[in-house]
Amino acid sequence: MLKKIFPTLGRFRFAIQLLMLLFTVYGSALIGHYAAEKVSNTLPALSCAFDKQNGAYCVLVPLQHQMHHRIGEALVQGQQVFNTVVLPLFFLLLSFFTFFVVLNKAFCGWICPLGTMQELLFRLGRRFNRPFHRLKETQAHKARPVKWLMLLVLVLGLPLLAGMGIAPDQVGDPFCQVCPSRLATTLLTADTEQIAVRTGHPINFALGALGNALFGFILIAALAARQPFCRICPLLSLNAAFQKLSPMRLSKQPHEKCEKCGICTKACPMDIHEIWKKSGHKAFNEDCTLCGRCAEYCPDDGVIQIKFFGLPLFKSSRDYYKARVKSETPEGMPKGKVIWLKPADTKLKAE
Amino acid sequence: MRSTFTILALAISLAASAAEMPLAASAPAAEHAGHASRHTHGWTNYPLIQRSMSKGMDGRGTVLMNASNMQADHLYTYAPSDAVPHELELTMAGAKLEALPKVGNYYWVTAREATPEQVIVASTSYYFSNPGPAPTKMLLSKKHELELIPQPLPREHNSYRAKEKWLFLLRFDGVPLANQPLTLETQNGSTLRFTSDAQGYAEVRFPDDFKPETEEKPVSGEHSHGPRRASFVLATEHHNGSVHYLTSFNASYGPDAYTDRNLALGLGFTLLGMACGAPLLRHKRKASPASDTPQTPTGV
Ligand code: SF4
Ligand code: SF4
Ligand code: SF4
Repeated sequence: MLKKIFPTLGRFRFAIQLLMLLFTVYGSALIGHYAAEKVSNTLPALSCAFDKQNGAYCVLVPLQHQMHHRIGEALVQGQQVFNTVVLPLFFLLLSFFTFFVVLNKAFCGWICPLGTMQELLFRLGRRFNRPFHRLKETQAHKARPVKWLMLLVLVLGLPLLAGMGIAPDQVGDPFCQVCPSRLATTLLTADTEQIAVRTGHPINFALGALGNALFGFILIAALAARQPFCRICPLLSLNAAFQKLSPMRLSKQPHEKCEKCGICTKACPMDIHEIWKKSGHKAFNEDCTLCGRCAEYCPDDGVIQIKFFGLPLFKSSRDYYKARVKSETPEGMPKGKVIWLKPADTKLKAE
Repeated sequence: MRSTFTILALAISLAASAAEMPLAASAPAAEHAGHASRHTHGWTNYPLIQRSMSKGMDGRGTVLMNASNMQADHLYTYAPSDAVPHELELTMAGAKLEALPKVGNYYWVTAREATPEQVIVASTSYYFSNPGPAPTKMLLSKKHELELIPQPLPREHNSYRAKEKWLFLLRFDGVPLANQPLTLETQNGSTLRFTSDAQGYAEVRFPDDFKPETEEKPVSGEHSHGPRRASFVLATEHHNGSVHYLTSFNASYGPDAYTDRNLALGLGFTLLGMACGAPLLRHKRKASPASDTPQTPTGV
């Protein structure tokens, strides 16, 4: 029965993603109005606190806040650092970690509303036969430090400097000011406040304008490239910083056929070449969102697995692969279903 | 600074650490306040509970509050997980409200002045960043005869704002009061009247009465700081036998959501970003597969 409804891991993940999208964007109707009723105030996914109907808050908002108002201010005022700084930060990270430890980066691949929206847009792009762009190995490598910079500068550094009085107060929450999830999720609740750019202070205006432009770019780019924002998302780097501590893992056995194959990388929405070229813990890359597509599209038995405490939750298999490619190519092009627009150039399809 | 801090303020409201913000206090004594009324406020005669004007006495997790326009000796605080109120003695400096661990973020604070002829109740809420249960039950538990209950309170990251509509439940002895009048007075000078429906709910629309040129300071007792705020008080009166009941709820509200925001510009920048992404949507004339991306699967 369950197999009929969810014949593939991809279909199962898609159902969870849609459910989580509804929950993270509109969940307050289900669980209650108050912050205290939210599933978490430290969710390792971009479930936006500015969305007045959401069901959980993303961890980046308290993190920026603590940098700004606890650590920064306490460092300057020489307050009792332990009580006001260390303990709250410890509890914040602990509460983030209690969630994170179970699912690891599956928060990205299965739960994050912005991740899901980008995937939906990419599917739409396939339906309209838009081109498919992916990052080459060198480009993917070059893009990786950006998400760490986003974390260090926008989530940790600037709020800390603002708290210390070194940077202006307007940069107390700079990531929220550019975050595309803030715009995407609030627009989904028909709230246009966040898309209206702030005009009161030049810094807020500049950050807001940048955020809106980034959001517009992501909307279009996601039609032609997979997960464009995820490549630079600071939450991906925060999650990556802890990914080795979780019992949920992606694991890959070395296999002699891999060198000539590489379908896993073709299937990977984050263009991770390591899943093809490396094995063991090196294959579980910092960019991985634990979506499981590589395991779905690996045509050899048991080479790629998603494991929880060492127990395989899903493993690649030849039979599964054969069935899977009948419905969708590794690059995400649906097969044998309605294609709304005729492919413009069949040669390009092979790219 | 009266810049558009909306996002910043919403984010930082997590800590509920509003700066000390005194209000003008040179008003004549309120007509219904007792002779020993400690503080009065010029913009309203209704009873209020607000952050005390004594500076520098708040700490993290503590706040000094005081009642004005009434004669009260104690404040009563209700935390979401508490069935019984904490009684705090009111001194000239105010009463010290403390966040108790794990009892919840939203505290309900009341003051009461009772004589055989009249019962005056002031109420407000205070937000501490303090995990714990939601205040739904606590708000609905019966605390006084005549009650004015926010349904709901603004949650974390939100606050009352001009042009917004919020519901309040009016009750007497725990029973909803239908067609009960309710008055809203704001620090910005507005007076508006509302009436409850058959279920006792009154929908209050906050007036858009912030003047662009004035530099209103954020008021005390609220968890949002940064943008301009002004105080408001809602009050309702009821007679039962020979006793007159007056109950108020005060808090603060801010300018409407789009103050210091520009929707057209926001859409413009979004469109600009979309235009930058548009070339990605065009098929190239010639396509050469990237050398380091995997080729069409072989050996499968
Ligand atoms: S704006 Fe982004 S980072 Fe900030 S709370 Fe919303 S989702 Fe989280
Ligand atoms: S990396 Fe992508 S999926 Fe993960 S939190 Fe960021 S936007 Fe969401
Ligand atoms: S490596 Fe596999 S699980 Fe990780 S993002 Fe790529 S396809 Fe998904």
